[in-house]
Amino acid sequence: MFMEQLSNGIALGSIYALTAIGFTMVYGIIRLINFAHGDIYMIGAFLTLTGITLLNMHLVMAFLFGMAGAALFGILIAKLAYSPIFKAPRINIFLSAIGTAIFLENFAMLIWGPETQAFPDVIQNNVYTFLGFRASTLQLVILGTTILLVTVLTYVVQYTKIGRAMRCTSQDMDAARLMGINTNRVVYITFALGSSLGAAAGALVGMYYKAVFPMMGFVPGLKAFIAAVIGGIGSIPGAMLGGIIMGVSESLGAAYISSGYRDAIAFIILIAIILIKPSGLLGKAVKEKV
Amino acid sequence: MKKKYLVYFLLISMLTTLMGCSSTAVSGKNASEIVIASANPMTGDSAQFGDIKVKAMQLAIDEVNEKGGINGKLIKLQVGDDTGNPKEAPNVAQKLAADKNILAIIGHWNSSCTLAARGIYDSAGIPVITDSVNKAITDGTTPHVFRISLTDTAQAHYLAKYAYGQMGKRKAAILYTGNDFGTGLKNDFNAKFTELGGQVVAVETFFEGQSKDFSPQLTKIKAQNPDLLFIPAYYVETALIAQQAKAMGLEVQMLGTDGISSEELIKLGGQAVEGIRFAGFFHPDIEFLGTKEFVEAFKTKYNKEPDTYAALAYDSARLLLKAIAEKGTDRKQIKKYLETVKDFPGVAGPVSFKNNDVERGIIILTVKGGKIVPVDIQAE
Repeated sequence: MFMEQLSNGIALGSIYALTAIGFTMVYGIIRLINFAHGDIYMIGAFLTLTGITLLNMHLVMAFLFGMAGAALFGILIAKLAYSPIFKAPRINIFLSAIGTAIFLENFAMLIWGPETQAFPDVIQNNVYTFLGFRASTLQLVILGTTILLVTVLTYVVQYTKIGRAMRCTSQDMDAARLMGINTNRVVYITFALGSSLGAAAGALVGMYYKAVFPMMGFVPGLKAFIAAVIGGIGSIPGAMLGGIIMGVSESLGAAYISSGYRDAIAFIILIAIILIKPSGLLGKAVKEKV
Repeated sequence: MKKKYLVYFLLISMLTTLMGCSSTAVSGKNASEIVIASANPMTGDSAQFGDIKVKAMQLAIDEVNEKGGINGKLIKLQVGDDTGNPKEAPNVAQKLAADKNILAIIGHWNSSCTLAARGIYDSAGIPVITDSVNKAITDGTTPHVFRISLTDTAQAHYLAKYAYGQMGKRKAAILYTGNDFGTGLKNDFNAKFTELGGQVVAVETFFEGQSKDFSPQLTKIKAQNPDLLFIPAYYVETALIAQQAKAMGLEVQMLGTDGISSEELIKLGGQAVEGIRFAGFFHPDIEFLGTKEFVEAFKTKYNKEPDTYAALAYDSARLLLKAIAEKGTDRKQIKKYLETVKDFPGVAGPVSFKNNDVERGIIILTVKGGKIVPVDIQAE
C-alpha cells in the first residue's frame, strides 16, 4: 500500500506545485502575497470550461483561451486593485488582495452560478503501473506541465532581458526605475504571467477532478501559499519541491495517522520547516533593509 | 522578514474564518406585505443547495401571489445567507429573528448551521422549518424548530437494514464528511449495521470543501476489501469519490444518503455513479397530490429538475403559507398550526409533525442509464 499512497501523494503534490508556481513568482518579483491567486485559478478553470462547452473550442485552444483570459484578469486586477496603493504599506495591498479574492468568488457565482459544474471528459484517462507506482494520464500531464513550466520560468527569470528587469525590480523598484527600467510594465507582465500560470493550474485541476465551482480556488490558494513558503517563497523550483512535500505528507499522513488530520499535518510540516529554516528550503535569506 | 511572515500568517488564519461571510437582510417595512424568510447558504461551498431551495420557495410564494396573496396581502421572501458556515448562521438568525415583520423561517440547510442558530430562533419565538438531518436539532430543547426531513438516525437505520437485509451486504466501509451531518449518519449506521450482524471494516473521513482528493482514504478502504461502501456525504464529493474509486479499480457497491439525491450527482459523476444506491425523500415518479404539477411548474420556471431539497422547501413554504392563511399573521399561531397539522398534502408525501419531527419513509433510488430511478426492491 505504501507505493500506492506515495504515488497518490506525488499526484496531489504536483497539483499543489502547479498552483504554487504562479503564486511564488508574483511574490518573488513584487513582494506581494497575492491572495487572489486561488481565484484567478478558478477563473482560468471556468474560462477554459466555457471555451470547451460554449464556444466549442479544441482542448488546447480552450486551455490557451483560459490562460489568456486569466492574464487579462491579472492585468486588470493589478491596474484597479494594486497599482493605486502600490506605494502604501504592504499590508494595504495584502488586504486589497483578499478583497479581490472575495470579489472574484462572487463574480464567478453571478456569471456561472454557484453550483459545481462538470468538466467534460476531454482526455482519455488511462492508468499506468510501474514498480508499484500508479499514475493516470492526467496525473502525468499535470506533473509534466509542472516540470515544463518550472523550467521555462526559471529560464525566463534567469536568462532573458525581461527576466533581468524583473529581478532588478524585485531588488529595488526605485533604483530599477532610475536605471531606465519601465517598472510598471514589469509589474503588469509579472501579473499577466502569474495569472496565466494560475489559470493553467486551475484548468488542469478542473479536468483532473472533473469539477469546476466558484469556491474551488480558496483552499488551493492557501495550500499554494504553504507550498511556496515551505520551498522558500519567491523560489520557483522551491515551489515545486514544497508542493511535492506537502502532497506526499498529506497522503502518507492520511494513510498512516488519520484521514481527519491530513490538513493539520501539512500545517505542522510548515511550522517545523519555518522553525528550522525560516526562509524555506530553497529560499535565500534576505536581510531586511532598515 | 520573519516578523512580517508572522503577521501575514496570523492574518490568514483570521481571514480563513471570515472569508466569504456576508449576509443580506434588508427588511421590508411594508404592512401590506407578509414576509417569510429563507436562511440558507447562498454563497460559499454549499451555495447550490440554498439556491435551489430559494427557487422552490419562490415558486410556492408566486403561486399564492398570482391568486391575489393572502387576504389581499402579497407574500415576500426575504433571503438570508448563512454561507454554509456555522459561525455565520447565528448572525443571520439574529438579524432575521429581530425583524418583527418576518413570520417564519425556512432553513438552515447545513446541520451545523441549524444547530448553531436554533437557540436564537427559539428564544425569539419564531417558527422554523428545517431540512437538516442531525438528530440533536429536535431534542426537545427548541420547540420552535420543526424538521421536514428524517433524522439521521432514522435514515441510517433504514439504510443499514436495507444494506444488510435486501442487499445482503456483510462487510461495509464508511467514508464520511466530517461535519454534524456525516458524523451523525456514520455513527448510527455503524451501530445498526454491527447490531444486525454486519462488520464495519474501515471508517475514513474528509472535510467538506477542503479536499477534492480522496485517493489516500480509498486506497486504505480498498486494502480492506469491503462489499459495500457507505458514503454519508453530499453529491459533489460523492461524485468525486465514485470517480476516483473507479480510477483506482475499487469495484464496490456504493450506498449514499439524501445528501446526494440530485441530478447534479449524475452531471458530475457520469459513468462512475452508475448503480450507486441512495436514500431520497422525493422522486417525480413517486407521486403524491400535486407532485406532477410541482415538477412541471419547477421545470418551466427554472429549466431544471427539482430535487429532494427543492421538494421539501416547496412543501415547507406551502405549509407556512397555509398556516398564515388559516391562523393569521402571528408567529405563535403559526407554531400552533405546525404542531397540530395532520397529513398536510405535500409533494414529497403527507406531512404531520410529532415532537417536531416529521414521520415519513425513505425511497431507495439508484442511477440507471444516467437517470435517477427508484429501485425495484424498496426498504421496509
